[in-house]
Amino acid sequence: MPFGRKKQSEEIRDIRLRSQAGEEENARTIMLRLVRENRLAAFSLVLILLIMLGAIFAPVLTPYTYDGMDLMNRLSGPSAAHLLGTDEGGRDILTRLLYGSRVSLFIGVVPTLLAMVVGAALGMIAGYYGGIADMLIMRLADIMLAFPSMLLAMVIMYMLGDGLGNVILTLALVNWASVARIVRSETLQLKGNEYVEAARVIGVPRPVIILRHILPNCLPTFIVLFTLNVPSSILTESSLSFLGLGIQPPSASWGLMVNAGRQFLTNAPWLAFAPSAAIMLVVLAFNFLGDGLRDVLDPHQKKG
Amino acid sequence: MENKMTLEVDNLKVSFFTMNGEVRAVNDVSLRIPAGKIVGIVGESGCGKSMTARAIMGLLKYPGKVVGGEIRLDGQNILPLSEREKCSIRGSRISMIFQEPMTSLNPVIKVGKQVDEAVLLHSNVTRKEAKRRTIEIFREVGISDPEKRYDCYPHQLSGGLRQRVMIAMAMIMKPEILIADEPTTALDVTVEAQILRLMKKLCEGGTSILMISHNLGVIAQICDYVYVMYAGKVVEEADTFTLFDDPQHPYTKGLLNAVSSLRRGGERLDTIPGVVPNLLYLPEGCAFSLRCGECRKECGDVMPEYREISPGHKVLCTFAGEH
Repeated sequence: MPFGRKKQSEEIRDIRLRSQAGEEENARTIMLRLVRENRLAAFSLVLILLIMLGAIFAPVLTPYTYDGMDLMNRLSGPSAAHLLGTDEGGRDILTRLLYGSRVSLFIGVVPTLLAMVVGAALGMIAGYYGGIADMLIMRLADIMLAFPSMLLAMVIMYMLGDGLGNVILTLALVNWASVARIVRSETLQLKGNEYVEAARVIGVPRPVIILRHILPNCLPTFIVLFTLNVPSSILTESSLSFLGLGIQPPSASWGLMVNAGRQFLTNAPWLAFAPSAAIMLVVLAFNFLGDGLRDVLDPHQKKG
Repeated sequence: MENKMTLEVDNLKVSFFTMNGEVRAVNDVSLRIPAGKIVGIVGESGCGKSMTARAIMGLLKYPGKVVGGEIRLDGQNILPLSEREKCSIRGSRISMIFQEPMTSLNPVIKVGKQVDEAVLLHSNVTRKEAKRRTIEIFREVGISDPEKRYDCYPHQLSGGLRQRVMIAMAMIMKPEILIADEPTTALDVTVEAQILRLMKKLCEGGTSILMISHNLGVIAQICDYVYVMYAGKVVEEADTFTLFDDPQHPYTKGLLNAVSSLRRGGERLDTIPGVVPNLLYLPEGCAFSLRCGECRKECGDVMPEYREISPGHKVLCTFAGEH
């Protein structure tokens, strides 16, 4: 309908103009613009929130437990009692999916945060101080980035052994370098701003400048980096679990479930399909959200 | 001048070490800024005005470096101080405002908080006391409704207001000297007049001001004493009236001729031919000889001597007084 379309484009222009005029950007207006301009991203946000709620309220949502065997009902297909069927031990797939989302979201969020704190700190130090600090930090990052990340993760996991803590540590070790690189370039750009100079002029010491003047201005970058790194962490964990290096059974993790379902792909395909679909949904949702946030938070970048 | 000197710069040399060689951006510059006076530096773009200011603040950027000279604040040489000591001087005893008020404030912090920062850094006061002082200085620099402005973000203020905030930030600790690097260039003329009046008022309050500008009108309005810089050197210095009435260096004359005036009627504006020479390839003798209308044979070979031709009036030209 041409009339409706025109109206929407006017609305967008309106939003753009207001943002150019420097209207105050708070969390609410950002969310509002996200919903208006990019419905896919808004939908992704809702989906992510739903999955989080599912993870939190898993025990309430399902009558089964994630490791409760029911050998009479092995490999049964989707039914009213088991919405997504059962696995080779008669455990309810949906239940395991819900509990598995705890691991997957945890693995998605915590190592990403860890990697971002370390990467951001090192990136800002490298970018702001320059010189030898820059040289050392960025060459170290280059070394980390020179390895294929999956291979690096596997090597570290072999050395550290299995377990949730080690998976988190591994993912953080693999991811910090790319964060540091991006934050460094952002810092280099911000450093040239006159307000940084103005802060120097009134005698603000350099560490304080980094915390008060550089860090808050990096925030949009952080948000986007976060939403883009979470799915890659989830994927890496899934791959590690699939290869038997991550979470160990009977704990549920999506990657582990795909691995277990592999053997029954021909006679009970839902075993592998359900967790695969869950991984895909979450990863796509985070990616769309990240994309949408980048569009909304960065007015300089034209929408493609 | 019999006054006490707030800031003395002696034979300051600033060089940039580039791949093509050493660029002498500031070459043997000496300045005297007496207490409670406004001193101006004029010159074209790239003549070393801003570099002198940065060197005084200790904010030269790589690969720029002070290679010689002394900068004395109340008799104390501040060049060899450590970064920490410099931090404690900056903002409390010596301060600076910039050309571009639009980008000189952090867009994500309330302006009041940014001014507070200066107080909290340099004195041991509570946040509440800092806020009270900030609002007080906002009132002093002529920001209307200071309580409300305190909670504004920079983009909610006009250019003039932002420059006032910048001045408030620089002045809140009552520094002995304020360096103003083209403070009114980005503002329109009415706001410029207000800001200049404000600076004059600050100066009467006891702060010395070093005013950097390429606008002779601004200099004429508020400065007591003027230095003219060209290619990294001071080419002429005198008190404002002498300089405008009786300029001696051909470059100063050229600058004054290039000022438009309603009284001069419809004739074409004079300009100085050519551009500032590349600092890497300065001529042997006088740096201005290539563009000078009164250049003689010797000028290209012999470095002119900086001489005092009348009390307080110094010129870097071999033939000053003879032209």
